[in-house]
Amino acid sequence: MEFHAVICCGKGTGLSPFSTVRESGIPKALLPIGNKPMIEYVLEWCDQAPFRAITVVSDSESNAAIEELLEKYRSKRSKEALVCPIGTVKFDGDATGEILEEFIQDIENAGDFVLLPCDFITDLPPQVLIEEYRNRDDEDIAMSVHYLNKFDSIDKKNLTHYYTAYSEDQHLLDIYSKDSVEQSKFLELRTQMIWRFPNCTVSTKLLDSFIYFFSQAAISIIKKYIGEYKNQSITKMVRDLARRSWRHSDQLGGISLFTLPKQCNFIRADNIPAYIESNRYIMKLKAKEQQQPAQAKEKGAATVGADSVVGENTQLGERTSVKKTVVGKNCIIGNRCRLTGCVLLDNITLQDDVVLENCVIGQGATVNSKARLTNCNIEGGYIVNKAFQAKGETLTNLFIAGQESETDSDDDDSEEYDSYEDDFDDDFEDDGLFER
Amino acid sequence: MPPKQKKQKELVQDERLQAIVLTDSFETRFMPLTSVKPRCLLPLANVPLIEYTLEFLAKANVNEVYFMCCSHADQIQEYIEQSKWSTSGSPFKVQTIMTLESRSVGDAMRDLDNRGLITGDFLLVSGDMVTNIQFDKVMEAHKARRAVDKDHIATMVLTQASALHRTRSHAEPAAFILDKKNDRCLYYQDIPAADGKKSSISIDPEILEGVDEFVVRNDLIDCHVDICSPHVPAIFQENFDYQYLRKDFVKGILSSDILKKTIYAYITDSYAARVESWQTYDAISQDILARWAYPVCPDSNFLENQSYSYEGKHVYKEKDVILAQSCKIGACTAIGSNTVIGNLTTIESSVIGRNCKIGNNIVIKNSYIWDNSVIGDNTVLDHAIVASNCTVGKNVLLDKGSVLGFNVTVTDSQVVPRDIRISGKFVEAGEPNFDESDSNLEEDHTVAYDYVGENGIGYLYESEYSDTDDEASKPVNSLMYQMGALALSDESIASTSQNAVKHKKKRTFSTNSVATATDHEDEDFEKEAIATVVRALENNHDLDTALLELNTLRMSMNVTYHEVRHATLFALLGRVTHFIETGTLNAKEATDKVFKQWSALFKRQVFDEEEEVDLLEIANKLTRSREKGKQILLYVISIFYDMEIVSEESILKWYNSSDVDNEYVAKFVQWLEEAEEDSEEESD
Repeated sequence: MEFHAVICCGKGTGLSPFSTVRESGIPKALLPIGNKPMIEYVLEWCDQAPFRAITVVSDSESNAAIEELLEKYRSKRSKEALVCPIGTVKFDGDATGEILEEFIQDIENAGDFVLLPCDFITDLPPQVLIEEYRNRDDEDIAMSVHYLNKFDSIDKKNLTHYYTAYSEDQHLLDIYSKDSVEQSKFLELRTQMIWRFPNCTVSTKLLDSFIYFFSQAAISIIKKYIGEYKNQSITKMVRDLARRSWRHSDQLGGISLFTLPKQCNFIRADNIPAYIESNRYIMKLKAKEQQQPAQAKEKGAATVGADSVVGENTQLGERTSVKKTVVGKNCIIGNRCRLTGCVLLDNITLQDDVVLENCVIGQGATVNSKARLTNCNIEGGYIVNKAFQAKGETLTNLFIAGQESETDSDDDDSEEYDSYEDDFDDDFEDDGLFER
Repeated sequence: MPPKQKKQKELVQDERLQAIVLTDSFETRFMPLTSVKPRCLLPLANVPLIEYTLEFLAKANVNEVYFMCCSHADQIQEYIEQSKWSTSGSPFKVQTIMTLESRSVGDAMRDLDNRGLITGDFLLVSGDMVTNIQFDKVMEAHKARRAVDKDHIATMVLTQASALHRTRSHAEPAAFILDKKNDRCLYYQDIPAADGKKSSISIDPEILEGVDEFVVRNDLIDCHVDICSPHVPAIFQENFDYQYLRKDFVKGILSSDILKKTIYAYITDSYAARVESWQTYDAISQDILARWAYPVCPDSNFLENQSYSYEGKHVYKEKDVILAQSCKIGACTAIGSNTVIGNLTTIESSVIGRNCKIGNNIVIKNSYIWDNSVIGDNTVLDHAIVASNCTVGKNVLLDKGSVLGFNVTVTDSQVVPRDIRISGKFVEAGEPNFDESDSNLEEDHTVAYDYVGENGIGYLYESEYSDTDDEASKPVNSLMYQMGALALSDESIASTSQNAVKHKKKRTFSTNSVATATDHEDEDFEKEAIATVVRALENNHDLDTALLELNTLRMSMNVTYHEVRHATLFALLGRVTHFIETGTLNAKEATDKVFKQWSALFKRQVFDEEEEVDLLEIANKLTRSREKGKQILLYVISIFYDMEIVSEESILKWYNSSDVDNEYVAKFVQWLEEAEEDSEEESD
């Protein structure tokens, strides 16, 4: 109960065109995985712990929608179990580094806290992480959680963003973003680090889970320098904290690094392939759970595989087959459609004889008959022409499709958000941080 | 069937293992001693260094040993011929190869290639290492990897230690970057010492492609035991500028796109170290005495006539040692036969050779006294080295790190201060040790009376390092050199470049000031431009490529030619200084080598007289604080002049307008002026 959980809901740059980066999108945290908003998985995971309190940080546009969802979620929670209060904080800054500034005053003396993304799904109970954190070295001030990708279908290109340096005894030492390395054409490993940690490993396959545990000590250090991080990401802040362990003559407490065990599944739906994969993962779990005997079905009725889910009020036409696919609410699916490995959000119309494979279809989109799409992403409200065929394309609205748009959205689309992986200026000089 | 037989014969031939021993280190760290004796014959724990290598080779089941002899080749040849290794009982065939012209490992390898002795994979070792590695395992690993990776051309044997391990050389620290999965070496980089300065290893991400995880190892002792394929000498032949085995060859192979060869590391826990500086000499001696390198220890009696026996507490004594009753022999001590030790004398952690006469009431701590030396009463030796045939008087103090060369006499009551080296005959500093230095004995070099006393014999040896500003290089080679706590100090901010300070200011005081923003840009440019030129130099790019890169950089960063010139010159001069500091070339040779090739860069950076003056001024400023800067400046200017990068007029204009405090240049200018007058006269 000693932890305060902070869930950061990002803009979902990687999930464009389905997130609020586009006008037709919906807040990333509310994008459904297996017909359930993704943040609910995170909340449920938190409730396994449980934490002292949960704060959901989102931008003011999405705040109302998230509030609404939380209201529903609160009522769903079991009454007997110990549950923690869930609050929300509006945050409209550009970089994640600022998030903490919003409420660092409140948590300063309240104990340790843990930062979570809104987009992960895992079968690893939170206790494992908490125990790992409790067992850290005394002088460590934080713990950063990393994982290895286990899903082959997620392309490496979508995942590897960093060179992560860690020591033999599992401490995070440094992080370099791939982009900055490419820009400067060199990966520059600091000799200071190599002298202090003469046997360190640099990994390109470790992925940042964006789960960070911060101790009181870390909070007070962060508080001191919070101003510096106005335009920086939390990842960069963590990197600077990690560098403390070798750039000073006295060895200061560093950040322990925990790599999730191979047995557990962990996935972050922060890009489209991962989003599809996380849907499949949930479907697979569901299929395992149900294990019910196949029901005798009417002749000519649509077939829905055990690894698929169809939302409320959705009509399926005759002889339509749905495999490894999630279909949202209030959809109308025509006859003889074949859907394989797709994610369909709500209010979608598919006419007859549509074949979709590995596609994501946004809200309120329409696909006219005989269209054949493979590996495509269709933005919400888009209308796919009759007998249209495409492979590996992203179809987006060129003009504002006002009347089709079902979202509770906003007019402000101009804001260009940095993704959470905003570029590191890989500066060499000691930036004077964390010196004592 | 005769053909078949022949085939079998060939197979048998392929299996013999050859070893190449580099008897020369091509370094001067053991000067002045190495002016008399080659490094590999210097005694370590009373055994010539090369014996340790030979013992290792014998255990490794080597069939043929070739000694690449260069400096003092005659001594080495004589030693080998008279040793047990040349007798019929020797486990392998020995042969000495005279490669007297070699000036580097690279030269020796090229010579080796020319001779065509190599028949298969061979073992390359230096003649100054001490190890107890089980070689068969290394060979097995090498063969296993070879089977998987046919481009595999070398396996380096590296020993696991810690970053600041005492047997790890602090003189040339280097990091190995290895693939975590299979120990394939991805990159090699020598790194600056742990002095808190900020620097970094730059790795081209292309090298890392397809590698999930790699380790950066700065805790390995590199004792230069390599298994090489016959390709290796050939590669040296092709790349005639390769000098060093690691810095040039390994790095060159790894960063070459064309060769596509691989090098693996074999990491072992066994003992392996190289005697490459006084610091490691001390550390390895102590390790041998303390039996860390077992079975390499004094009582293994490597030499046939040795008779060491182990007496507990790591004390080793040969036969016929005469100890006075009241003397105290502490732990970790070895004493050779016929040595006499007087009353009340204390010895600990030291090695004393044969036939020494150690007087009364002497304190010998952590010191090494070779054969036939005499030490007078009441003398104190602390971390000192006394070579053979020395005479040290009474009441003398040999302070930490002092070295007495062969045949030195120090008279009574003298003090030899810290890190002072005295040689029996005059040796000029910086003279490569692979020269016979008899010719250097000149009359006008006075005896170092201050240290050896009026009737003493000995000349002060001025190490080429001792007069440089670079503080770090001096203690590196001292016996006393001990790495303190890691000095990754916060003070280092004070010592970092001005740019760093500027940058820091920017971070703390302003976020969006225009002026500082441009500063930042310049700095980036400078850093990148210097890196570009350095890359071009190191990888020997052609001029056009370098020019193109610089030009692109200039345009993208929108800086003036002045900055380009500054950065280019800075990088070139850095290269020159590097050559001079490492002692590869002298100032003139180095400047010639770098500038003759690369000055053409300025042809596209300097366009009119004003800019020529500017270039000269930059050169003036940049050389001012450098070692031998004045000479370098002269050479640079004369090369510029010869290559018509700067005109006579601009030189004169510059010389008259700027404050040039340089007598060499003054002469040059004078000559120019005279030449001009002459030509004017002629034309008249």
